Amino acid sequence: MRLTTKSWLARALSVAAAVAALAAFCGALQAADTGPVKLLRAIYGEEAGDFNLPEALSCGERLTVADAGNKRLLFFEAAGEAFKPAGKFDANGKLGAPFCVAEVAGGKLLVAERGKPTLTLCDPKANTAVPAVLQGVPQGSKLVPGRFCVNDKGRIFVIDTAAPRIVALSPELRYEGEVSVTAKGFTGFSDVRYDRRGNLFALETLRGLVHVFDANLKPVRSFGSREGSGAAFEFPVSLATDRQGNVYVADSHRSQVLVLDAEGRLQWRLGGFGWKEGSFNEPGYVALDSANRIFVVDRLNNRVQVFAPLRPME
Amino acid sequence: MSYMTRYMLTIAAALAAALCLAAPQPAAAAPSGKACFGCHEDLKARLAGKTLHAPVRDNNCTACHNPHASESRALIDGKVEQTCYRCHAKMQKDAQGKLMHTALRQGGCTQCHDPHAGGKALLKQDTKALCLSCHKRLEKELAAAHQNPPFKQGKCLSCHEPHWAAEPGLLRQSAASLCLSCHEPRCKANGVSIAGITRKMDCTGCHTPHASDNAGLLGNYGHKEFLSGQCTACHAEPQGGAMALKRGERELCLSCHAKEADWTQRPNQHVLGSQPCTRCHNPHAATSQARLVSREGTLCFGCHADTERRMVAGEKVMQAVCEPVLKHQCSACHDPHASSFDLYLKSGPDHVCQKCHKKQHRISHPLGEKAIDPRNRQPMQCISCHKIHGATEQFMLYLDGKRALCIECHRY
Repeated sequence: MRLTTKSWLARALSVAAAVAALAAFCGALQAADTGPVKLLRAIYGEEAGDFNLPEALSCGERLTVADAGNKRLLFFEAAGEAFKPAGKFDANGKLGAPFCVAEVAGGKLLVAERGKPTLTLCDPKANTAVPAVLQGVPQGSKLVPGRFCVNDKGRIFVIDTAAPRIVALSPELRYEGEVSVTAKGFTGFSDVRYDRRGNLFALETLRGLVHVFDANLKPVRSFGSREGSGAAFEFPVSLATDRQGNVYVADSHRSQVLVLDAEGRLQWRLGGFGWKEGSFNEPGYVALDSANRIFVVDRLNNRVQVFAPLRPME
Repeated sequence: MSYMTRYMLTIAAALAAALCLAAPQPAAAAPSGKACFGCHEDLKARLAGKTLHAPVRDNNCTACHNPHASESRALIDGKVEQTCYRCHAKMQKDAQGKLMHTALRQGGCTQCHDPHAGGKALLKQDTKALCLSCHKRLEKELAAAHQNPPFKQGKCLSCHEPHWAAEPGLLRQSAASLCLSCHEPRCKANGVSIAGITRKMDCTGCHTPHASDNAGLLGNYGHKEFLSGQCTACHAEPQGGAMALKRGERELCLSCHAKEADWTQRPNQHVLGSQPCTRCHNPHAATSQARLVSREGTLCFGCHADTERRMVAGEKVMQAVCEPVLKHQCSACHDPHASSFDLYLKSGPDHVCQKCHKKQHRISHPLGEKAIDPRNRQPMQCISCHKIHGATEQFMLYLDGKRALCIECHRY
């Protein structure tokens, strides 16, 4: 039976429609896999010289990168989609390897340095760095600071790796309370962040758990695991939250940032192992700014990668 | 063909089909063993006089083997590591969430058991010989002056589970409970009994469970203060059933081990937490010179279990693996305390590799500052191409070295 032109045309259109539908489906799958973001920028040391084992960053008024291997802080000003180098700070060569940094009141920076038993208050404008004196902390002389975070009210939450606990401090560094996990087998906190509701999210790397505490520092829930080959995490080292209450976990050994909802359900993943921009090699720190841009310290690639949402977030 | 002929043929075909379906099915194939032994006569000879595995006893070779073809070695039907669990399913269920014997986890049941016939429990050798075949370092301890009787007699299973256990070291109970089941503590500090304190502790914190040249099975390598009974060098006087440390652990240890203090400044810090030193080191007495609480690989994989999983998966595929990796000698390349280099390496990646791979460093792909990796703008290093843990490509490369890896950078 010979086909007419019309029926050929109809068949060709049907096939084209099927192929288009299949492509859209595959594209949707891919988008779901890499998440609703796009790579905005990969920041290398630029004119300041390459990063060397970058450990952390602070994305406040400007981007501050803790360049641990070079024992310095590097500053970048956001200019559209670019980040221009805006100076550095090393306390005249006396800064130790910084592994956590955050902006505090007065344009100063609170910094945790390797090998120092206290946090340091750095003033880049005055070029000074003095030990931060914490007041009223029980067993304060034994406190060994780990990572910390500063919420939008200036309240500071510091991991005490010796205790282990998280100590809450006022903007004036006065003790306001603390929180810990008393369950058997607790291995200590590795990172801490807050969300816009005032909840505290604390990461326990060795057991792969995210502990959630409310604004009164009462435990709410925990989620995550590292047990078995199908575990939620392989080696989580950092976490952050966004304005929607999602939790971003940097999984160093998976070389991905996993995005979970507030209950711990996986929503999407960012990155994967590799050297090219968009991939990670042992991401060590993750943070989000007020525009929900995701900043990832891509440690072994010695760079910071910035991802922007495809759609403006509420 | 006439209509009637076609009709009759159709009816005949339908009847024939119905008869075939209704016919009794042939009897299930008789156990195949007799057929298998027709060729595998040597196997039959080896079975004589031993305890037979049930499928072998029942001549049911196809319970485990596919007689025609298989993707697994020895024509095992399905995945080798799952074959035993087809019958021994309860054992697999019981193992969930427990620590598994490395031999079982890496090699499967036939590491210790003969799948056809063997001694008691189908073991390939007696317990002592079998355990020592892997745990070779224990052979030296058999020559020690003082030995725990079950160890001396080769009764390993009196303390250890052979397959999995909830307790580290595959102990049947916690270390303290196990020791107390036979021994009553008689520990003293400065001549004063502290048995009330130590009976709540892990005895292996001071004593070696197998053998030692020290009386009381105190570890061969001990802090001199501990071995000479000067407990108050580190501990406060016993109070309220406890002996607290005089200072924070890190401060206390570094007060003597001052030369280690310089690593506290390095960007990669491994010595953290509430037990920065005693997480890995035994502060009293241990069986290794570094006074580790357990063997190096076991210690590291206790936290880095995901790395071990990748390594084991890679070792099954690779024909050649870096020797320190194969032997789980992590500290051959990594600094366990702190490091100023990527991946906690003892020196730059190239220098670490060059210790063994001297020739490759001279004649290989350009490396260093003059060879910048276009993907991440970093100087090329060995680890730019080689995946040290869990590689599945030849030469431990990340990708196939014939093309896929090259075109990562050298695009045409």
